[in-house]
Amino acid sequence: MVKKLILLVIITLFFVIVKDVKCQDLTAQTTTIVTILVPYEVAYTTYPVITLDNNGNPHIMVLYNDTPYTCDYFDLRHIYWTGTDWVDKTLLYRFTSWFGDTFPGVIFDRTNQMHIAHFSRFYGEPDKVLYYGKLGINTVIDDDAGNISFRCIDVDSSNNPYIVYANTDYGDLKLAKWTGSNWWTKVISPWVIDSKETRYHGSASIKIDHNNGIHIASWRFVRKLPWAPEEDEVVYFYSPDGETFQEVVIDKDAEWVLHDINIDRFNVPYMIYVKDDKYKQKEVLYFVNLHTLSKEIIDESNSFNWPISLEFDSQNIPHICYAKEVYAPEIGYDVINTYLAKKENSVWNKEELIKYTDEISNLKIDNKGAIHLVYIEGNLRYFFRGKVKVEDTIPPAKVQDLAIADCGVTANSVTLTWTAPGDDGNVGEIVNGKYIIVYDKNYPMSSTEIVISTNTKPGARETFTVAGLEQGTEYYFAVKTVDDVGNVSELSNCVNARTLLDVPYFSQGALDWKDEYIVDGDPQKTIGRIGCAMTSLAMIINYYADHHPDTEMRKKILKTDPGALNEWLKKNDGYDNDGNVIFDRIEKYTNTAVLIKEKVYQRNDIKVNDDLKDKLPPILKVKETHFVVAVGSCPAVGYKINDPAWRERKDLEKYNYNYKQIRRFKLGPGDASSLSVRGRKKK
Amino acid sequence: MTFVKKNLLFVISLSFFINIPISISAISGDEEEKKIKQMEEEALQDRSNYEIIFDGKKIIERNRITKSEKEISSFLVSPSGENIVYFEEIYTYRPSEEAKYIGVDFIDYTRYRVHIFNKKNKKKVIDLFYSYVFGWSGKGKQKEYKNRVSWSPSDAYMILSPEGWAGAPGSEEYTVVNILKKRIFTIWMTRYEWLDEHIIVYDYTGDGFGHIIMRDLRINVEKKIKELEGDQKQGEGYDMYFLRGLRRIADGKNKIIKESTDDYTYFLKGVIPDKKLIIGRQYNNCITSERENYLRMTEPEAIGSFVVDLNGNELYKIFISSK
Repeated sequence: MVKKLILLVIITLFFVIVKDVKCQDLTAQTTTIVTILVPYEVAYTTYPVITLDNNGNPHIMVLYNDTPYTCDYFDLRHIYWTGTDWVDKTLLYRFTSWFGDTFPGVIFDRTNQMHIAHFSRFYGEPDKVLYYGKLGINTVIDDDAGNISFRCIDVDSSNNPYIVYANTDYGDLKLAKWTGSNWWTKVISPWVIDSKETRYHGSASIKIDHNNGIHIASWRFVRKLPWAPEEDEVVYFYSPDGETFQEVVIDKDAEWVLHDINIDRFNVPYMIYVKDDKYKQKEVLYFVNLHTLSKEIIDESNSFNWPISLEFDSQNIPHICYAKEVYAPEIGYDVINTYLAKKENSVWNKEELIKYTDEISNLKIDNKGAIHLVYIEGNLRYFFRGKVKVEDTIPPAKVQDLAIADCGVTANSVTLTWTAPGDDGNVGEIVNGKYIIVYDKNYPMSSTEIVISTNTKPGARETFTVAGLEQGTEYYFAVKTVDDVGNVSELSNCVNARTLLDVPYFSQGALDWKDEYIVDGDPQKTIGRIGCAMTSLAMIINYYADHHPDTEMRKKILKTDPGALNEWLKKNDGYDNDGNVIFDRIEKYTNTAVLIKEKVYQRNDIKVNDDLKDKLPPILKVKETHFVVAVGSCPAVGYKINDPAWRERKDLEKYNYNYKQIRRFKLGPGDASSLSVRGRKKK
Repeated sequence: MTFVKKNLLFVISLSFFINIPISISAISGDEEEKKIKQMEEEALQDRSNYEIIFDGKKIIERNRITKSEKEISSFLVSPSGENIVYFEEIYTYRPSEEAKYIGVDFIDYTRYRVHIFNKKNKKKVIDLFYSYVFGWSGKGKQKEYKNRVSWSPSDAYMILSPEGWAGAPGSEEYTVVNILKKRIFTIWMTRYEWLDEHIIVYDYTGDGFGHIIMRDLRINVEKKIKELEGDQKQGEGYDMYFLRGLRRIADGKNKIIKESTDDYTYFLKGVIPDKKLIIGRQYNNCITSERENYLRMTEPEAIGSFVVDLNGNELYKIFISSK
């Protein structure tokens, strides 16, 4: 009765603890999270193993002490994250453990089905290797074996599982394979005893490559008879088909071996192993390319802990996770710390990942590069380092410096620029976030939103061009930021800009007309040399042909070009004696759809601004003898222009941002009866 | 020539035939301006090895390094013979088709350093830079710079015609050299005449309006003789009166003010120097066809023509007749 009560309390507390971490989620910013899954005080856990399902959710296998004061019985527990909750399940109840190579192996196949291989021993029975998954619940694979590792199971391209293990009593290295209908087993390397030596295998690791080739790492006891010290070997087996295996001894003369095996993105197999060198009296961690058999020393120590694990991230960078004994001066004795070695730019960089670990699991890296690990330090702890959001209720900060980019205004677009906030206020990268550009012709803005996906860092300079706008129209813009969980920032400061007037451009120097005479016979009086005012007038005429607000009026305005307009002006008293264009001839040309408003004899920004606002582009005299068309303005450079003499000049910089006179136009009543002009067809 | 430029020129050439608008250019205006500036600096650096001297009879170009000398035969002499003018060519710019496409100032021109010497004391009066833009006619007649120099009646002032850059019609910038004071200044004008040794009368027109102005070059102060008061409308204003082939000017009562025996001289130059009078015209809505009508007039009804004194007081309505 007391035992039942204790058990009830343990289970209850476990779920309370698990529930406390339920709000955790993955994404957003790089950070380290340690989640206590099982407190030491109520349960003793050991042999933790972690894997990731196809959604990147962690699944943890652990032997869970069912009898905390005697360690008589263990349960095989499966603790996993569903995406929203942690769930705990018991896969095998009350079996006895054996403190050897007994990490369970677990893997998810391509259909996201979980396959587990684990060891169990019940009192009075031989050790067993069991399978748990879609092919059976605790199916016995071998009833006289048990040396398995966390990487003792893998699946081929048809999702058939393979399990590698060693016989407990004799030491045969064996492979079990699901054929599609039954388990098929094979001895890869048998136990040997003869007059000279005995050889038998410890645990093994398996990895199936992209071509279904089988790669196995194992360690093998070798002892000279009658009774010499161990001369253990590190052995690699390869089979392209599972039938015949090639054996390569990677290292020997060890007293003890840890190992792991994996393949990189290019199907190259690699092994890591720790060899307790019987001559050097120290333990060395090696990294081996199994194609070239080249070795690199990763680290050395008086003592490494199991397991060691090798993973490749999505950029094919190898990561090795291991725990070793080091002296901790701050506490005055040796401790076990966990390290991560990562090969970048041909250099192995090592970092201390976790201090003071009793036990660690294998390492897993998800496709976003995040590190997943389980370790025991008093409690069972889930270690995560990567992009996360931890109950993210903090919205990004309000953008406060939204501005129009330098001269980022055209006739149909406005380019905005601002500084990126963070995921939480001004902190943290925004991953899978959004900007929402809000704009309207009216203030406050409401009608139009553009949503842009973004991954950005706080302080980054952002730009975005809002296109498809109406010419010569005032728009108001603001932006808000949304993080990956939908927290929305306050609306930014509001900026406004008027798009440029869509005045078509003509160059007085265009080949079609630059040499045509304004004053017949005078080569100094060609359109190319003196035709800036007339060319500006041609731009104005064509502007109204497209944009006169009265569509009927537009029909009265024949489109032209500088060559055609020059001919028309010469025939219609359009020039004075010197070749100056008589601007009011535009009234006749447009059949009074466009009229001269006035000539202003000095700079007058108010009038120019009024004209631009009213979509009535004026002609500016920018120096003693030059005319341009004003098409808009922007804060940085003042007025934007169409300069008939200079294609590249879009503002008044070359004219000292100044002008001397204004030619203003206005909309007229239109008089169809005076329609008597002809434009020239384009060549 | 780079592959890119070759191909760009090919595109440009092609566009002549198939009328494809050229929308890209391999160079920018700023780059071309930088190139011109660099060319000028290099040319001036090169020319700094030479000094131009006048020995009383001829212009000599002396190499400062080698001490070698070269006689320059081509120079101008002012009408009085007191001043010698030499145009030293610094460089000639001939723009590519790409450059011409970009902007109107990328046009053929020659940059000169104009040296003015006093013939008597052989000393240099002054030198100045001057560009002769000749690309508009398309054939590069840069040697015509001689026609661009004119002198006041006593050779006290030398005037260089406008350099010829692109610009709207009307007044242009003339360069005036005050020989006595060794000063240089510019005047925007359209046509000018000398009223005496120091006073120049000119009309300033632009954008279809005009004034008649008198300027005393000794003190370089202008005085407007006739200008429209109030708001000026395009096509209205005053200008000096220049008519070809007229024989006499009479006042409204047919009193002859001035008469010529030569039908083909510019009789009406805008000034009557000996009487300190200025001949002008007020025009209204002056457009080409009306201008032609003026020129064809043979009857004494040149409306708006007048003779004024130097204060702008109108003395006569003039009567024009070719008879």
